[in-house]
Amino acid sequence: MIARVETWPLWRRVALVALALSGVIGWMVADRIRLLRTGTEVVLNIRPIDPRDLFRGHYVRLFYPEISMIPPAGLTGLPATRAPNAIALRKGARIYVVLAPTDGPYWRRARAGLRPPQTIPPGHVLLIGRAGRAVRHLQPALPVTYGIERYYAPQARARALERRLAGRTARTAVILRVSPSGRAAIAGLMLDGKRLLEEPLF
Amino acid sequence: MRERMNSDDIRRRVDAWVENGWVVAAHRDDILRDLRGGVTEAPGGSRLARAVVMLGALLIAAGLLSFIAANWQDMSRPLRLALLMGGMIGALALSGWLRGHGRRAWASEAALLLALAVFGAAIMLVAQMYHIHGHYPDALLTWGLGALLAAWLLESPSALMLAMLGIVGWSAAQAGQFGIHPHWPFLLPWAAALLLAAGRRWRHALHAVMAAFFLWLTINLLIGPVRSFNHGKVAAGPFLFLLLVPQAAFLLGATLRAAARARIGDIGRVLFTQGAVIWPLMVMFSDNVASHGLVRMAPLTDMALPAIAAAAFAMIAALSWLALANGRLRPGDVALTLLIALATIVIALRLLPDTIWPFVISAAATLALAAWLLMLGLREGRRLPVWAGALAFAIEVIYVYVRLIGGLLHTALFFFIGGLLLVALAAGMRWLAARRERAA
Repeated sequence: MIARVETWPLWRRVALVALALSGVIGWMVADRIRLLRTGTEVVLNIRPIDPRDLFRGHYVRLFYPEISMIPPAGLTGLPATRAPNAIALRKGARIYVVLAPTDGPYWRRARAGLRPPQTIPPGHVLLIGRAGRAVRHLQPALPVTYGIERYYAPQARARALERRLAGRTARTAVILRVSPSGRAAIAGLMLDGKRLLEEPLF
Repeated sequence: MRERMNSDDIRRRVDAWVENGWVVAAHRDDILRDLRGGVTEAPGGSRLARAVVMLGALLIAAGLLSFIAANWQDMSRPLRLALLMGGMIGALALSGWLRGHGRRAWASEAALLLALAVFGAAIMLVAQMYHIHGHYPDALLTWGLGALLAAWLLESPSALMLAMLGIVGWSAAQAGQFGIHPHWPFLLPWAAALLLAAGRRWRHALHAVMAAFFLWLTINLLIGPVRSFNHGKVAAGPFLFLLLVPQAAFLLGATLRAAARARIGDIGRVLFTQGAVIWPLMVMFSDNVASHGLVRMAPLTDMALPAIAAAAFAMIAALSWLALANGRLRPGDVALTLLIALATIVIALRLLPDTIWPFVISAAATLALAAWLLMLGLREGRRLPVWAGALAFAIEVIYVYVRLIGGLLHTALFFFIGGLLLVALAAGMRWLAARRERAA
């Protein structure tokens, strides 16, 4: 097959490469649009550590107090190790988090484990993350990432947001769209319970 | 020394052969293609100029994308996507047009590199557009596989080299940062790249593929474990294996480079070349890693280590014998390679107490190896072993000096021994040259 490919017309080969590479980019975009359109809406608090510097650069790092740090003791299915400093969980391992709605607009973590939950209660949502570092015994909390830790903000919008956040104890939240398979996309920002920014689909 | 020819020289020679009737005109293009070892080395411009153009293409891509990203927020998402897709497809079409019209192959390669750079940036920028902050090695793999596909379909050695960059980056991140080692999935795209480079006889790409393999071994056997497991230590068995692989590659390459099958010969030459460069570095590096306590020794009762050491030595002995039987090495060469293998085992497994001796043995083995490579290169009229030997010699001399600096006696000893070694080396070279003159 490798030998035969050079006998194909050149234009066909160029078109195939163009199609494949564009297909990858197109798939990335289509996947996000589908997720934003059809995913379940979830609102999670974020903690602006220093609002004045929130939009330094072109993105802001988002820290979700409910799900970004999970104590290993709160993880179900963590394998026991004999050695005191041995690895129980490698960096990048999948973490399955179940989110539950509350009386207010914000969601909370109901459960976190290393295996997919057998059942997800109605109204709850599954979110899949990855261990941010290897887990050893006696570790107070495990950082978990979900691919939603960066919010890229246009400069003008960032400045406006910065002004609204500066010097106040605003309750900032991120609106997510979560697919049934546990992947999440940022759909917007919320400030003091009010929708501030909505991400366009396209 | 062997004469070095560029593409134009080769073309002129082959044309002269056709004129003299030594070569059938119908075979001229096939011969040129075979001698150049790939489609990239078509006539037009010097090798340096072509390399500069390739780098230029990548820089232009970086500049354009930075410009776009800087003004990104003012554009609508459809416009952003159109720019990315348009840039990528446009560069691909230009590459195809240049190739199809028999224009400079290197310009076509440069356009293809531009397209692949835009593809990589498009992955990044789409992630930025939708606030995706995922498992970043996946993005490197996607980019690498795209470049591999382009290399295969468009017969581009440069795209294959770029693909290796992405695939090694992916594997390095998985092993070094995410603790997945050995990272076996790397071997799948790597094997595909090897088949492509060897099948098409792309010499430079084959070098990149083999270098990627050595890098993968180093990351998986040394850097990954040191970074994440076993309290930052590497197990002695894999460490020894890592140290001996370049020597094995050198010996295997020495045998294979004269193989009757051209593709096997290509692989042999690459193994020989890279082995000659990496082997002395590994010998000098062995004591440094071991003496810093980065190697985790198994308990003395564990029979696995002696068994691994015996197997490793047997492997080197078998490869040395193979090279001897094929007339590629002489008995003296084989004796030296076996001694160096033995020294490596002694150092890696810390068979000597933690005194100055492991360092002395490592330094002596490296200097002897460097001198031997120099002489081997001179004997065979090959430039690379000469350079590899000289480089290793220089690095080792500086390293020894830095290690011993502080005591006047040590420094004096160092200069004295170094001087004696150099004099002995010069005498050896003179003797070889005189013998060659007599034989001539």
